[in-house]
Amino acid sequence: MAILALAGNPNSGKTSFFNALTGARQHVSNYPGITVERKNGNAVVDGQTIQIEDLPGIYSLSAYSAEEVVARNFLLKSDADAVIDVVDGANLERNLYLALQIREMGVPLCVSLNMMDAAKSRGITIDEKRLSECLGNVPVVPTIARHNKGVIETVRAALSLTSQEPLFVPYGPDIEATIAEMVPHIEKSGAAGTAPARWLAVEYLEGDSIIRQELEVAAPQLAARMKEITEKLNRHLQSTLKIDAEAAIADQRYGYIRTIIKEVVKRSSEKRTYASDVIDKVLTHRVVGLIIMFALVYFLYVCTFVWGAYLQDYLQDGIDWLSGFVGAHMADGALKSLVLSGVIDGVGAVLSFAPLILIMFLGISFMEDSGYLARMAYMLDRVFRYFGLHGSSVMPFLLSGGIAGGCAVPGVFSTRTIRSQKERIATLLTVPFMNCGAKLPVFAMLIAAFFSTHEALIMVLVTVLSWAGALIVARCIRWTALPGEGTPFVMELPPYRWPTLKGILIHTLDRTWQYFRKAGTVILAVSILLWALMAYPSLPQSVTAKFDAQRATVVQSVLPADRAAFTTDDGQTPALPSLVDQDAVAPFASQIAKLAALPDGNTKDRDALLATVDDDNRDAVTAAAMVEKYKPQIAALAGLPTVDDRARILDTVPQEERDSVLSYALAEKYAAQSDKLIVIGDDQAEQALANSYGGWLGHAITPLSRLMGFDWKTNIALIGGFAAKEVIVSSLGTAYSLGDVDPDNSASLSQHLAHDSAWRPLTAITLIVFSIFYVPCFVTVVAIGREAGIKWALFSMGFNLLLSIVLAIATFQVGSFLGY
Amino acid sequence: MIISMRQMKVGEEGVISAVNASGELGRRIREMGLVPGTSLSVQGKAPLRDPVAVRLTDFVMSLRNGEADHIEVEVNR
Repeated sequence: MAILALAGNPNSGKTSFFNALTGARQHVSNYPGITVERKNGNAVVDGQTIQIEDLPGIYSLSAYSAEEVVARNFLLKSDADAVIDVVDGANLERNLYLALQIREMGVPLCVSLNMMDAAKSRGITIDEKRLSECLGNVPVVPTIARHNKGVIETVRAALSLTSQEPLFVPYGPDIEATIAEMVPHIEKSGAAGTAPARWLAVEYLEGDSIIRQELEVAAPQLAARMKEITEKLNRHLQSTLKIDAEAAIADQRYGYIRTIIKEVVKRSSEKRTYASDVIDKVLTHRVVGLIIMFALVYFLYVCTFVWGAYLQDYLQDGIDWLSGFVGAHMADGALKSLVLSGVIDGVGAVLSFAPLILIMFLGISFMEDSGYLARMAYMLDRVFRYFGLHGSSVMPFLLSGGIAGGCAVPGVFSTRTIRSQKERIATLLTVPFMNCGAKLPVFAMLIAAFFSTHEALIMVLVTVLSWAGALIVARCIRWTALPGEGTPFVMELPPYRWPTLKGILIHTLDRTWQYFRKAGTVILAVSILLWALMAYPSLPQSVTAKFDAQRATVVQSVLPADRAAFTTDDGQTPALPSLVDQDAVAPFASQIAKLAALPDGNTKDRDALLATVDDDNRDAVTAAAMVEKYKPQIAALAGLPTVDDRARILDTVPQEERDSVLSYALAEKYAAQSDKLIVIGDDQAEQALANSYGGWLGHAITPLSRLMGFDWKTNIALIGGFAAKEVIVSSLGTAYSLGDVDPDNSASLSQHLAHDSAWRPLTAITLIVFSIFYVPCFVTVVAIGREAGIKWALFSMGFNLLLSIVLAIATFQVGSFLGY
Repeated sequence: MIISMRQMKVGEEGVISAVNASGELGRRIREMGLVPGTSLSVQGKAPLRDPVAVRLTDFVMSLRNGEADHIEVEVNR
């Protein structure tokens, strides 16, 4: 199969070119060991299948960044049959720099003269034939890749290429003399391999560190000779021109390009204003620009987390349905528990992130492809640089919960837009400190328990603390683990462009799919592990028997005829409807009264009334109206000492309502017994948890956690918090035997903690501090591993754990010392 | 007169006379086309006066003040 490589500057339309050729048949992976994205795909042209390798977008083939090394190695060492250099026709001078370097390597090259529409609208005309001659008779094909124009023609031209002589770029007498001195040595040693000896000499003079190292290993004698020759040249150039060989070569190359430009480019007018410059006057304005930026970020936020929440609800409904289906159709036992609590809950947690990631990537892709993201980095670079980060770090921080309520997973993924490696790693290590949507229930529960009068103030403090913590930690990481100068901020501000739908969709779906494929497997495993930790070893038979006996006693106090209706299959929770929560439905009193007064069968008015109630309360209101309507019957039924007279009372109720009226009456009659069963079930859950490995672990770390004021129950919750932060709330619920606590409605847990002797406001503050800096949830850890490698993922876990423990101990001890 | 690029005012035009940077920074500056003889104008500065946006003939780029220090520009003042 023929292999074609795509090279080109960033923003030259290379990605559009690749998308036009391969469509959705793309394969995205990482180059082994580094974070550079590798994209390839197949295209069919004239019935022939061709493999297309999309090299990273670069400005030159120097060996400073990982992207450049990848691209150069591919061109040097791969079996690519030809290279297509996608060149921005509206920006020819700078784009030719890379083309020239490829031509000097002697790899067969075909130039795609892209964005001819933009060039035309700027009054630029290019003599393609003359350009082809200047580059040594390489094919030059005008294209508009965004609109799929000229793409196939370019590929045809590239496929028909055979070999090309390397282009000779003259570097002036001094450098040429040096090259002439080097070339015979290189040719004699054969060190250049298939590459031209002249190219190797020029690269060496340019200070290419990889070539120098390779040469020192492969041909030490030659390397020593070359070093000597280079030093001689550099001394000479420094004394005469005050520059070194590297600079001189780049200057000469640009000089050569300018002679080409003079011959091939005609401009219709000298001075003109560009639309982009006018837009920038507003969008990067000191005041207006900042306001617009915050508004746009807020809008992206709303889209991601509000609209995403709708989609999440639908997904959650589907997961709940599956859960219910499995619950109803699988035999009880360890396998069912594994499938329900381990597999479905765990994978469900992953799935529930999908809408957020999808919408977030849509937004980011739009900002990136339109050119706005580069402006954001430009405006905020000064602030982030102070902390050793990069202007482009702003987006990951905001998405992760910089304004409380984001998610670190899309945040970590969005660090891809940071091109500087050190700043990128420092960013993705610190974004988990932001207050993601899963930490909010934890804060909300604790604030409700201890600081209900200062809710807003505490939330603001929490936000400030997490930002300060993240930035300070970033600064420290850049001093210690990732020391050294930041990457230069020499960055293009590309002209504003409307992104194409196709480009954005491919971008988005691609990244979302990658997240699933990789995250799904690891998350499933960790999820099962955490489940096993909480579920095993199960309670000994004798203890279970004790709880069963307690239940049997309760069931004995129920009339024999009602026992079947009172117990479910698991024998633990009553199968009766729960009583109406009068507080919850109080706001809907008028609707309930009207509903209860409606004559039977008036479904139209009923539906109209119910439509005025929100989704969450509709069922409760319906039940309350039913209870209101049949109040006398329910009271009479509940009061009957035997079952004999029930039929007589039920006769006064319409046929279709009888079942619900009877079961509600029974719920009232056996309210005390129901409560007892729930208490027994919660006690058993608490004991089971205490008895599990997780419980053992919780106890085992109390010597340490005591310093932070946490008891073993909190410890278990924090271990569970590694799965997902909201699990802290539900695990605390189990540990404090409150049954399943819904993270979004944790009032009972708040009340319980407020009155528990082991808890005081300082404990809550300590837990809040701990939660901010705690180990990222495992979905985030997987994301970090995916983006930066397993080493940094492990570092993040260890470092955050240590940091959170140190800060929590400091908070608790200082607080205790001050008498709180 | 020749000044460092940092000292250029917004809207001011000039021609690069020298680039005094080597290594990666030097390469990054040169590969973007900031070589002696290139004419440019300062298009704007970020809200905190750093980095600076520079227009070359065909495109706009930004660089930090610390990086602009390495570039000498001939301006008409």
